[in-house]
Amino acid sequence: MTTNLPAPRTSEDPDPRFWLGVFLPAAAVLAGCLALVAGWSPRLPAEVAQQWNWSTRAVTTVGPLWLNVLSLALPAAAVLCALAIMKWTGRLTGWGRRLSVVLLSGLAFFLAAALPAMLRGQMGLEDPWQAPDPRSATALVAVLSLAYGVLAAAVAGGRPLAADDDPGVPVSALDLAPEERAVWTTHLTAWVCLLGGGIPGLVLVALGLLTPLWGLSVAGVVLLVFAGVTGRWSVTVDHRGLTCTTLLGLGRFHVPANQGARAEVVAVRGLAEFLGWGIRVGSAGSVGLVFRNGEALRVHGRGGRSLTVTVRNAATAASLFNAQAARNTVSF
Amino acid sequence: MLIRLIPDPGSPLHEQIAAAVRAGILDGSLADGERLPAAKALGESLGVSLHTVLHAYQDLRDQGLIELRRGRGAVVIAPAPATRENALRILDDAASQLAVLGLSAETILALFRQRLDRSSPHDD
Repeated sequence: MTTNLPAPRTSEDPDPRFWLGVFLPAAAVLAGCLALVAGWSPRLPAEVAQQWNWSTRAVTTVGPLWLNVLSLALPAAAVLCALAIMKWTGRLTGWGRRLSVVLLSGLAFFLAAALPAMLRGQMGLEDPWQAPDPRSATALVAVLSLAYGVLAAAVAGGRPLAADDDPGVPVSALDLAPEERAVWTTHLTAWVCLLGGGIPGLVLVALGLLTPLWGLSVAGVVLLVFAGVTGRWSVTVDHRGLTCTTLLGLGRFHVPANQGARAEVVAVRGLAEFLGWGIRVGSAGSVGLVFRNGEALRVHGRGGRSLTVTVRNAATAASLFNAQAARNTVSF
Repeated sequence: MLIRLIPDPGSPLHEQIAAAVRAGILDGSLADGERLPAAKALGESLGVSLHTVLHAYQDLRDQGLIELRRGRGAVVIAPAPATRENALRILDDAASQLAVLGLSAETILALFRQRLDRSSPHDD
């Protein structure tokens, strides 16, 4: 008897599990929490407590209800949008797929559910400065959020949620003489990192200074440092392999030119894929430094992992890498 | 920028490095203001000493092709793309006209060098 196994499902097949099992429940949690708070609003004080002292548990900041709602609901909606855009643009691939689903859906859940957790104890109060510290409820929400994220990732399933990276064009090895030494090097300005980290960083710092949400300044400074560190890269192919380092030397990606490693030229999609630019993690543990559309160097190392970087004259870099890998293989 | 070093007693390593950088600047692949690799990193990549790379960079600086700035390293000084295109067009025209005269390349280069030296504002 012959059993015809069903064809393996591919990323091209319709996949309702993401929308029905991950996105819509998180969106429903957000909508439900907003509806709940709207229902509570007549019983809440005009201004509500926003921050508490960690030691004394006393209220340190109060503000309008709408500001409190916006400060949590907007980031929750933004996280959900990011999740949807990642799905649409094919970014939910590889080993980072489950992690992305856990983090983003869990974060959206937490931001949405923290709102009623924070406001529940303030119902019926005349004076918001008397509001009880909601840390217990918030801690419970954090645990539930993590559980929700893990559940959402499990629901999303094991097959690819989006297409894998496109195959590249193989490049023949550069003809190196036996004693010849060679290096290919270039510098990259990562505008997407400079602008993507710099502008939001400045906005957050300004918001933190101008509003009671001082914690935004800390996040803004972190973003500014990130932008400064990742805004300029040095890319080198030599006898050791492909190495990409930030100019400050604080970040480094490396694929050694050894047995089994190979380089190719690929055309990277970016402009049409929101969130497709920057430092990204793709399928099968691949890492991409994608700072623009078009020509890029991709090096496959051992274990199926790869490093892709958008550089001009990628064919020369790939041919040198292949030559160095062949030389190192022969010398083993 | 691709730099290839071939062991050759007649061509010191620093000259080969300088020639590769010079070729990159002249063919436009190295743009004005672009930073060259740090001498130490380039030396490690090529398996040569720091002194060899610095020697190459100093030669390029003496030729007016790069600037050596403290804290910024070696920075390329290259003509603007339009200027470079104009210069190449003039040289192409001159080369095609000189080829008709049957002069050797060495003679043409020597004459051209002489004319440049004569018109240089630094020659008093």
